[in-house]
Amino acid sequence: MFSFTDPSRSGSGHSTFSSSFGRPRPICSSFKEPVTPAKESSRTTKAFVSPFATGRSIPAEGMRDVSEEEEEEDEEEEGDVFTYALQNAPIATGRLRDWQDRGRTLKFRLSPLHSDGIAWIDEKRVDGGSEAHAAPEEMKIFPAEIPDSALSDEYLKFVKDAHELYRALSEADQIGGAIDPSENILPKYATTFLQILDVARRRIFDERLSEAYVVCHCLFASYFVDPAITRAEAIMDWLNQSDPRPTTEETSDIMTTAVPYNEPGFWEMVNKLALRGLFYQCSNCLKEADMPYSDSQSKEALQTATSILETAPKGAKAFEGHRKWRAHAIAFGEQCTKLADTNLRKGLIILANILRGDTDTILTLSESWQEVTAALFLFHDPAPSRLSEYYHMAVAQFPVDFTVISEAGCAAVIAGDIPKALSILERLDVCVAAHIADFCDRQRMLDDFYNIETLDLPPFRDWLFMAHGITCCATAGTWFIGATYLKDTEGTQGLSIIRESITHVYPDNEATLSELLEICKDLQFESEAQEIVIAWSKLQLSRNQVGSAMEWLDSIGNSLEMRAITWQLLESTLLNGLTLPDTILQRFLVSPRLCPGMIREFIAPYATYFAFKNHLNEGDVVEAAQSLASLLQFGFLPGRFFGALLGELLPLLDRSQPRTLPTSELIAIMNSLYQWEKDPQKYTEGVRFLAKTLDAARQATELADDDWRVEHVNVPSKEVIKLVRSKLVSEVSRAYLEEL
Amino acid sequence: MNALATGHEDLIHDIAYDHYGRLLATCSSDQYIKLFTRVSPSADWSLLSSFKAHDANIFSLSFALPQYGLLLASCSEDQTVRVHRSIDDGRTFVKIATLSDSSGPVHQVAFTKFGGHGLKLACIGTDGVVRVYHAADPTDLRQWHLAFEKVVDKAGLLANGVAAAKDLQGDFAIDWCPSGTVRAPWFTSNLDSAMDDSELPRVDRLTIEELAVEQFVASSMSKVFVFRKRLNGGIYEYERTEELPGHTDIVRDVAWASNAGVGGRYELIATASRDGWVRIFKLTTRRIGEPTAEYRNGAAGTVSLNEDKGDDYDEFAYDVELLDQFDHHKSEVWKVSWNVAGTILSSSGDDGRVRFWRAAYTGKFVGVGVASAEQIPQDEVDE
Repeated sequence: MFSFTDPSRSGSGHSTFSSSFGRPRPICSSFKEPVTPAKESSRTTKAFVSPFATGRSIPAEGMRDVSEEEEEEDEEEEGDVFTYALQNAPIATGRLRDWQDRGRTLKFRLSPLHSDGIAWIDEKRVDGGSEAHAAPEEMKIFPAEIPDSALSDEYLKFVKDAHELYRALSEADQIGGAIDPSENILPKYATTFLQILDVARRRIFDERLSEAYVVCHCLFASYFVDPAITRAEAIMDWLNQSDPRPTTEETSDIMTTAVPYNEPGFWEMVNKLALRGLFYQCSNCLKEADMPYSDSQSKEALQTATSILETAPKGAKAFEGHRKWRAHAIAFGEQCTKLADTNLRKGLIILANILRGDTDTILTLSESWQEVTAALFLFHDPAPSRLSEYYHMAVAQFPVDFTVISEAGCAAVIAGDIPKALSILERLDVCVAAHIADFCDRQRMLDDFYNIETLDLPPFRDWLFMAHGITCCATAGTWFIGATYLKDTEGTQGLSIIRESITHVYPDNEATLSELLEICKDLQFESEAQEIVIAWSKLQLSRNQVGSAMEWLDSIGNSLEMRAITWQLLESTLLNGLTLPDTILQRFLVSPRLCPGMIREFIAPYATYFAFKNHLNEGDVVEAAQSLASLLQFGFLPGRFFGALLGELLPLLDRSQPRTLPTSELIAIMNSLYQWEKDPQKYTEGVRFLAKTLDAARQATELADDDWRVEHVNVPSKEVIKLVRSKLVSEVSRAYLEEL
Repeated sequence: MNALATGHEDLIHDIAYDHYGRLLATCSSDQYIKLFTRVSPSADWSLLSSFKAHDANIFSLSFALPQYGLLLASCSEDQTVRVHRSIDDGRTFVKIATLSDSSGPVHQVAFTKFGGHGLKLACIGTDGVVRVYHAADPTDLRQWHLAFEKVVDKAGLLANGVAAAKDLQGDFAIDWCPSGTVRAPWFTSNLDSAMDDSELPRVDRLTIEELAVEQFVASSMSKVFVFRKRLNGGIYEYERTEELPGHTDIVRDVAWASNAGVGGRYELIATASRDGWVRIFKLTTRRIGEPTAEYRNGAAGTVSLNEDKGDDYDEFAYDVELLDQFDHHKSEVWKVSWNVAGTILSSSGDDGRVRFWRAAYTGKFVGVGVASAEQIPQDEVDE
């Protein structure tokens, strides 16, 4: 459970960050519903006890069997942490020992980006030699989420709304700007944030969010008051919302009777309404109570009471008018002592005592420290400097119940211990805590809390934004929101997290890709942008969008990858035949002059081959031969393709057809062939690849009619080369004869 | 998210996510690898492909960074590491390389996690040798050359008799440093405690080449060491550098966290051990010797690296400190893994529990919850 600083210390309002956050974050008695495992699986939730808190020494010991004694210890310790069972948990209750005896263990790996992971069962023998036959449950994988990190759709709506407000506030407010109450925009945004939170907690029915709302409301009432009302009124308003007394039903039960005044709880109700600052309700009750007094003194007293109640100073001028109004209340109390009717006299004196801020009366009538504090602040002296004094008077009689987390949070707020309040809010909801810390930071409320102990730590507001940002980044659809928060933190930490995670975001479409690249550009993440684009181009290739891949690679000037794509295209085509290119690639191949320069340069070998095939298909064998000859003479052609391309030449060296190549080209090809054969590595690779193409042809269900392999599918690869050599010689001799 | 029957016919030994967390590969004693794809928005997994990858138990899997396409490495009891490639987004895989230098079963395989280090793959097995392979030409991923091999802890292996006696259990693990923002000495030498934030050199303004130090952590039996690529006689090579001490039994797993969560101020490495402890080590950069003045010259708040590197350019080391350790599993711990920012650690083991640890504001780690593979009694649910 919680262990806070003692009340005398907390009253100072200045605990250090290290004292507030040195302890581990307890897992509290109420967990947020959106946590999927908690919703979908059984769970126990108790406060977490840290090993640091226990000060336990850590012995060096070897492997231990899990004895029954230790199991008992386990159970004890297990009871201290938030525990949930995996969906379809494979071990029956109480059968852990049997499972262990089967030589099993549990393994788990976190997702590289998301806030979940996969658990699976493995055997303990590292050689994989299973002694026990694997049961079906043991061959399953078990998804598991990090507790307190999964965001439901409903909660995501809140996250997005809060983020929109944050952005608007960031645009409207400059941190560190002058804080002129009349120009302070923070209360307006604080009110909006509170409304967003209120809507969310009602929509989600989330206990922790509701508790966070109470603390948040208390903090805003204390420090971000709308100029239209006083701080005392705001705090009373917070109290009336978080703990309404008397309830509407209680009031109605009395006021709907025939003679409300005769009801035993009438004065108690009236006084409670007054204590809660509900002046009009209180006045109306007095007016409509059907009191049986006709004497002038009583009538006058009642009129004075309602008049005082209805003229209670409110808003901006309340502070100035309070002293005068309180004097009226004191005078009214004296007037009441003269009343003849005991019942009326007693009731109105108590009312007067409340209104004049009598400490004893307020302490007597109140039921909680919140009520005492709010009432004293409203009636006794609404000077902000006295709030802490009232709080201590209140808690002396009504100690704070620190087991109720929202109460602990509000106590910290009222005591002026903002770090502690933020720490408690962080336990309830990091998103809320981060935004509240941002409001506090903008109002310079955290400046005094940094000290030597926190020198190496980031500002707490930033740490909260980082924690919230990481959660957003790990949730589908909110990475960009997370990045906004991370970007808005000081130092390198937030940027480092963006840098680390940005390449993990799967660009499922070009819009997402563009957004990622925009962030890279903005933050000067050049290498990450390169990685993202290369990875995207690989994805495009796997989707057969080669042209698009080339365009993106061109955008980052990656010639290496473009060249690789060209050769992959050629390899694939030589093996499997020509396939229809995608629209963009088609454009590049058909109209190379319209290509960006770098694409034109690197696509050229494949474009040449593509032209060869097209000419062949159109029956223009001379043009086809010219294209192929150019490719064979290309100085940077990888040796492994040479053999297969020679094979393509065979149909063009047919003596029964008109000659397709001039002597010079034929001799140039022979020279290239000679150079290729002279290089053992290129030759070996080329012959091997040629064999592969022939093998692919043998296994193909069908080949194009003009595929050269149709005629030579069963010819060994080296024989193909020999055949080409022989035909080249024939063609040269033919050319020689024809040119005589 | 429901449990999913994988279709394996024997126990699963490892799972691997692709870089995006969109694909999931599993491997088993049935010698098959299965690939699953994450189905949005349910976040459930659906089988995409399945193929026989080895001739014996498959122990470990690793996906390469996506800029190299969809590459999956596996290692096996058959003493090989195999690299598989898919060109259709995981629907089919083709084996493109078999690396068979190991003289025993290979326990773990890991591709580099940082893009600036090129396409490299490390593995370790029962011969206690860590090997690093390099695909020097990213356009031809069929070609891998053995760039480094070294016995991680020769004395330890001999002392434990693992090399000689096969009936004794040994275990070996490896993990690459995922961050490219490790500060080189010339970087830290420019830091001055009197500097305000605007004066501090910013990691994000520096290039990969200026920052990246290539390093990995490897365990052999109960010993854990950092290996770092250093300039030695004009040649870059890996050297065994720091030891992560204190393990009293076999180390089952090692995991190097991203240093993003701490803004690159230090490194975190977690270990899972048979002695029942999860340990988190903090590695803080310590400079050896003074860097020469050339390294200090920077412009516009940045630090630039002079081309003329001195001998001590690579001379930096880590101060190793045990940041935290937990024995909550009360039994053997088998696996540790980090989230993307290095702020959340998971551990799992013989107690059938997955435990989650989170970095608190002070940098220390605290428990955030437990996922149990054991069903929870109905009465506790009701509570």
